[in-house]
Amino acid sequence: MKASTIRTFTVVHTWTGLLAGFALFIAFYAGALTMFHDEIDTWASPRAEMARADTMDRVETMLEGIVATHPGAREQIGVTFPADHPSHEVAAYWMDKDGTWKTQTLDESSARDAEDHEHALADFVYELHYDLGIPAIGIYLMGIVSVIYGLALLTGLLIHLPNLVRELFALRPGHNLKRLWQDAHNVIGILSLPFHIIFAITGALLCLTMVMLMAFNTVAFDGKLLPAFERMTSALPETAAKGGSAVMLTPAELGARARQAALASGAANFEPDYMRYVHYGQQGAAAEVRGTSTKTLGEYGMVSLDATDGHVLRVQVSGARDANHATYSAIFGLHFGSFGNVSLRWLYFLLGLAGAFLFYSGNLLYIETRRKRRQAEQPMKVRAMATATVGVCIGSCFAISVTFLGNLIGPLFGATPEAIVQPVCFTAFAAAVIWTFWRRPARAAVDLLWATALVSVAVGVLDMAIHADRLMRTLAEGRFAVLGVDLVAMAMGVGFAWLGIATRRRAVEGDPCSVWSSKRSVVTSATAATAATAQQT
Amino acid sequence: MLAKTFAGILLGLPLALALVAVAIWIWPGSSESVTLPFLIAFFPVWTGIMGGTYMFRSGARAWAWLAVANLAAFGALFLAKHTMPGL
Repeated sequence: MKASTIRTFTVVHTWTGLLAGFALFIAFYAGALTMFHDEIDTWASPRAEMARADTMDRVETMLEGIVATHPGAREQIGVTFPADHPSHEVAAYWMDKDGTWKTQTLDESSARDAEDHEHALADFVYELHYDLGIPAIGIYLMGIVSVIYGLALLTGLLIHLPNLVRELFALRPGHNLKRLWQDAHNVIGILSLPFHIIFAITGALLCLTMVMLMAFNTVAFDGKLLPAFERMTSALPETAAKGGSAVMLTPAELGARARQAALASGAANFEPDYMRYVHYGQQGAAAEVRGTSTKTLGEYGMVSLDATDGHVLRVQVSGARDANHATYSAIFGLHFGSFGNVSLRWLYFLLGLAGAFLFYSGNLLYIETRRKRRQAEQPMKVRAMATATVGVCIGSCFAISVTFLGNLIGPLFGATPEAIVQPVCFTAFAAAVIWTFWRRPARAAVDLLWATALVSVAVGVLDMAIHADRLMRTLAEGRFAVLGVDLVAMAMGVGFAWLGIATRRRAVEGDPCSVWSSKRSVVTSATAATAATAQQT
Repeated sequence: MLAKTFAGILLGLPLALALVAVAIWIWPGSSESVTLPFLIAFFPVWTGIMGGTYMFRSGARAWAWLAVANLAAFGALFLAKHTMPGL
């Protein structure tokens, strides 16, 4: 490749990285935590855990009640299975006549809007991952970010392709800090490239599927794609209500029959986690049971059945499905890392943190490349970048740790965790950004890293102290989720403390001609003071 | 450089759409059975076009060539729609 082409790609790589890097940092950090969504959920809601053993027996009564008061629900109504996880609540979902999605759980007596649910901690962190907590448009924003990220990956690969092998394992610590950062950025980028390609593609798809389908539907398929998409992703054949009334088989019964059919078709196993009825209570009603199988890339499979007599209509499960269903399921499996066991989730967790480091280090490289070697006061764009990097990146780590802490101690002051996680997170984030402006990045980075370390350790320690009884009980039952979250919180606290020490060392002992030097602000403020005195006299 | 960027974004998008759509239309046998795997290629194809656009010597050339490619791809899509069995 010509040198000028490489230069062009370097510029594109820099700008795409800057444009998407901040959003991606948050997405990767929150996404890494989301790999343990269920563990965090168990940890965060001791109350929900106490209320386990919700059986499927009461579901039938609930569904009858819903379709009686909301006739629109007959058309289609979905219900979740409790699965083997204590905090998975059993809830029904349907679209009301006015087009809004409604939901009702077993413990509720009436329906509520499915969109305006309050967030539990684990769901909130997950939401940060895919929409940064921005309602309505956040998910599309992240879709665009995914596309920019894809371009950054492509150009990054093209830049490094010529020197790939030679530089892959070069990690040169020494006086030249920039080269160390560059080496670390390259090696992590290249080694986790397959993982990043997966995320760029599936991330764009998960956020923008509807937009993409609409475009293809109108431009290329004259309206035939959307109905086809329904066939490609569900197991339900075309059904029509035949009127009259009919007795529905219960979700438990349909789940059991679906499982039987899935196993008979060759799936390793099949755990129903969600199902929906169409034409509930009428002749011709059908049901589609979704369940998870292991030992497959795409864990989700579906079985559709007649809802009155239970005979199997279609099976789309691992080992017995077409290319469309396999692809659709694989998108989720690859993105959520659900195709393996717990060690794969740990790998995704580590790769997620490494990804966050990749974007952080990219910003540092931008700063290091543009800094002035012989002057204490750095150019505006370098200072702005440093402020944004510290405020947004370290600030979001801080905010998420504070949110965990808020979830833990909020109830002690009478607040429900669901109501406070969002305001606590956004307030902490805003405070971190303001702090970074106030103290300037060199000192703010050290402060925020230490604060994050302290809060993270406190999350683990305080939980063990406040909920000691629960910790003991879960351990006695052989469940390690709660202990795991406590220990990981503390371990991450130690990690942040280490970063804080390293950053402080650089601020004090490092090159004073850098935005990361705390000496610089002393020098400049001293200079400013001298100037002010000179002016007065 | 900015001209190439916008060429890649604005003309690359419909071009990727048309290319993927044509591939689905002309797939031998049932197109519907391979629609999803092909649709997945949409974002990578668009990204590839955006990256490739920077190889043009100037912004004007990028716009011109991508416009020609769009015409060709949509022409092929039009033909495919009228001659192929469809989904």
